[in-house]
Amino acid sequence: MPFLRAAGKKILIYTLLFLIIVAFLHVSARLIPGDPITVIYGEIAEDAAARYALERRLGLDKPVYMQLLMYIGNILSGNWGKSIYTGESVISLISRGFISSLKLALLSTVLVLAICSLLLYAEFVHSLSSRALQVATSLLSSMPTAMWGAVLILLLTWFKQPVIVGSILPPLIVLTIVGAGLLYKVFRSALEYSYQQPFVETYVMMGYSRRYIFLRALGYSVPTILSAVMYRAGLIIAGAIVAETMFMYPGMGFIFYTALSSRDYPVLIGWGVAVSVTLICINLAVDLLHSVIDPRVAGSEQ
Amino acid sequence: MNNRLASVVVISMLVLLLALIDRLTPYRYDDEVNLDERLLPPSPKHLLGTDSLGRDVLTRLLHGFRLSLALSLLSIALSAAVGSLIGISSALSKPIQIVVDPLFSFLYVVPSVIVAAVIAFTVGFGLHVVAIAIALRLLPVFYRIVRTVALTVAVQPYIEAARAMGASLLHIVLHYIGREAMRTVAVLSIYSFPEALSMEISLSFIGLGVQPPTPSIGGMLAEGVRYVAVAPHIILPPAVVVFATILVLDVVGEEIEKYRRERTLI
Amino acid sequence: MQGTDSMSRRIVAVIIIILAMVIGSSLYITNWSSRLWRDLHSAKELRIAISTDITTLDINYATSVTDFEVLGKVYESLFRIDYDPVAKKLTYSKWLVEDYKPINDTNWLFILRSNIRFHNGEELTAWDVKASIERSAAVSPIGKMLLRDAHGQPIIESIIVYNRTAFIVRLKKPFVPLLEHLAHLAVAIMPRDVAEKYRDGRIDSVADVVGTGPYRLVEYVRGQHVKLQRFNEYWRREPRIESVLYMIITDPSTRAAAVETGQVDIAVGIAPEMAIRLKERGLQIHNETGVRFVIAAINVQKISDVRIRQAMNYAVDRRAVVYRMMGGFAVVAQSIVSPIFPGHAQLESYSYDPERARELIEDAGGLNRTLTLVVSTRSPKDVELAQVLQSYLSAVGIDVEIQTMEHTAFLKKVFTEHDFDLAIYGPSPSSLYYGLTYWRSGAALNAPLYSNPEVDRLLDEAAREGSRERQYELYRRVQEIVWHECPAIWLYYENIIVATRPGIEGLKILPFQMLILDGVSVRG
Repeated sequence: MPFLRAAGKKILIYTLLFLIIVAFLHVSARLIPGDPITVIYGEIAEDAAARYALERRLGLDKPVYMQLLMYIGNILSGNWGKSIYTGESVISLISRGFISSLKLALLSTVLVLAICSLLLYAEFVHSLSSRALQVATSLLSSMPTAMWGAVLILLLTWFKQPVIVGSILPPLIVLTIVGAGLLYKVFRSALEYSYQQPFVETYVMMGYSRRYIFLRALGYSVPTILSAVMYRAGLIIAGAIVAETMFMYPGMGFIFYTALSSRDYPVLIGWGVAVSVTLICINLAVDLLHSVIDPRVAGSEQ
Repeated sequence: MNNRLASVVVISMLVLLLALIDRLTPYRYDDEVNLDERLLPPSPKHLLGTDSLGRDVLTRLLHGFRLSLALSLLSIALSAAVGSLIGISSALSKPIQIVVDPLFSFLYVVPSVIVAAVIAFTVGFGLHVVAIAIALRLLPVFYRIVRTVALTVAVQPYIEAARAMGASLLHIVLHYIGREAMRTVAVLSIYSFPEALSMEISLSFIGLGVQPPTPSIGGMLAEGVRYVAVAPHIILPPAVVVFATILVLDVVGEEIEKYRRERTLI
Repeated sequence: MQGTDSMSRRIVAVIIIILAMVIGSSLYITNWSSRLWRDLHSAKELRIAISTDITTLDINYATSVTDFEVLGKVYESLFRIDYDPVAKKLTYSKWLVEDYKPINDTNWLFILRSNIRFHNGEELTAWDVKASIERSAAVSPIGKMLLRDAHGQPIIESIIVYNRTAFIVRLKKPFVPLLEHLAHLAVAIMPRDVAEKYRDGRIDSVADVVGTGPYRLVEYVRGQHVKLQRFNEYWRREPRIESVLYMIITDPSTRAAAVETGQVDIAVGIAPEMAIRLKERGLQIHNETGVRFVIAAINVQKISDVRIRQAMNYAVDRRAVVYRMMGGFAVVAQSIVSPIFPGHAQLESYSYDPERARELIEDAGGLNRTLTLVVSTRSPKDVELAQVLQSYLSAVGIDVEIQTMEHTAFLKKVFTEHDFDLAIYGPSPSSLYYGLTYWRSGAALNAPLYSNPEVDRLLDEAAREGSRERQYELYRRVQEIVWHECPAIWLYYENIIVATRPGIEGLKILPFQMLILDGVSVRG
């Protein structure tokens, strides 16, 4: 029961946080200079009648709190509005982007997990030089996504391979390279911590094989590793802007950036709502996971 | 011991070099555009060649490196200070924790480039936006760690003893918690450096970074990528500098930690 | 010991799950990439890489080059802007109209071609034309510019339909550039019921994108691609390509790589450096003089002394900018509109004369403050140009601070708030008259707030002038006045650079970055 109560409290706090974020987005979207009218008219001074019509259509002529209440009501009833430019409904736009991003996040997470476990296995079981691995991985993560994207494009043109614009492969490769570099460090320190636990010494004395001990230690550090990995997946779902725009992958980051540059308010706020819900869910999931998998956390909460 | 000596030597040489840039090179970094000397390969006159506007790459690299380092340092200091302050207050006061905790976990998981884009579109581009964006990226990390340290220290018996002896809260915070937190913050700062540097580069790539003509490592890399097919000599120097910096920081971080461990053993 | 068992079982479970995920995702990727290869090789369509997404499906709301490039294949206007490669001039030819005749100064009779069909099968009638022109004049940002006079009054009083093919356009007062303005795609012809259905709103459904053009729009995925299909009942000869896929690739190096590796057949918006390299690799580079005139507008209200503005023009070495920075893919400015417009006056270009610039500044009593140069980060070339200008101006003693801005914020600051000293942008007019009205007092595009009653008067006169020769003389005087009063640092006309992979032949390029696909054939 205390577990349920703790979860209930968390959910309450996060719901409040969600409402605050929606309100914040709603107000701050209008603070950015320029609006859809500026975008449409481009290098032509705008037209007062056109601006008025747009404000009426977006309901911007009502008081802010009314707008906010109406908006929250609309979100809950599934009416997220339409893109100002193409008229596509925000819900279909966002859900398309969300699924693309989810795919990217899942695939890249799995690959990063596999690569890191293999590297650590090589290091801890087969005594591969840890120094070399560390240097290599910090080089991987020292260059940002954009740089690896550029390197990838260069290699592809060099070998006369198509760049496959709009597909998942190029952003996946880039995100996996950087992710493996970043997370290797986390995994390694988690594993080192596990190796310092008394049970490892016991196993060593009992004469178990190195591989067995490695697996046990890895199992012990699963909670830490999982939460790191889930946070990174969350980042990708919210939008890997650079990798996505470079290769025109239609994920959440891409949607966000186009909506922001064209001041497409309904899409922008829709993105904010979707992302905050996702991130809150991931936060909750990490917390819950910890209390389920890790007996220490569960114990301390009782 | 060798590593430690080497780190000290390398860092002091670096500081000296960056302090003396203006004496070392005959060129200026910003308005010395020369369209007749665009994209020249390295030569005795321009040791690392010239960039797309005919400016000396070496001069711009040194200035850019100095700026990027200063920017990273500034943002780390900013987020360390703010993060420690909020971290300690949240450890000591439940209401603050309830408000701040979810906010920071949210900030931690929102992509930093997105945060930067919103700030830059709202207040305009510039150095301050880059600094704030990097600081916001690091803030939740500092907050979490300082809070954990403060929580562990606060339940130590000697704190309770101090409290029983009538020490004020401020005294406890400054003398016991603060000191312990400072040590962790110092190590974390070193480890945050690569992240800050990489963030600066990322921002430059999507056009939100340090604005021209001021050079920065990220800006030079972004330009290098644009011209890599025609003039590969532009991208190499900043790339090498970034790799080298990350390696040096790695070694330095490890040495500091070792040093700390030795100290605590004594 | 039991604890150990459950622990190892858990480890095995985790390993199995991870393995399953790895195998699953690699299967997914291989399956997917083999599908992609099939797609690539079985393609019968022409793939074109464009640099930005279209901003709207409604041609009347279209403003960007990309909008007109894509929607211009779907819609047509009464006239067409064409290009005479020998004279290197734009021409305006009859398109949907069979014939036209001015009855008097204010009444024009038009006869439509017969047997032109819309994509929905209906025949084109004069009623459709009336509804389309009225909608354009009412809602289209560009249509409003083209079909209204300097005071915001519509130039067309009414359109009187006689029968299915004949109609009269009645003007409020004489307006000679009418035909040139009706040729703009912002005045495209759509069916009457569509124009009336979206009287206030914006066309937002693919099904309602109906024109008379050679291609039908069949699919639009935002940020990804636009797919066009051949319209088989097109009134001119059949276009050869069965379908056209516009792929949106914003990153310039990705775009160049896509055409180089054959993923797309044509790529537009290639940077000069890239063009040189692609040419070396055996791709075909089309390079045409464009209409985009790159200038650094000088806010006349803040820098009112004409000597300072002239000094700025003498301070810049245009030839170095064009031949070095732009790699020769541009033309040095010799007037305030592109040389491809009939009526363009070849004026004497400002020479590179820093000495003279310094003298002029001294005469004017110097300039004791730092100027702000505003530039949009949308184009890396503009940002480079800003640094070049900063350097040239500082050489004659003018301190300039560069302020880079995101594009929409830039538009707001420059065109709405006029809060700048210098601003880099590139107007791209569709006719000479339209290009000259940028400099009319209070005109919407007049960011520097330049105002000269003489220019306004000459423009009004030119709009009424029936004789071509006298009209060109008036245009010439406007060009001279504005050129010498310098509401901007006049720089260069940007070329249009398009790369095609080997095997693509017959591509024609119009100076609106309009690819004419009618004669294109694909080999290999």
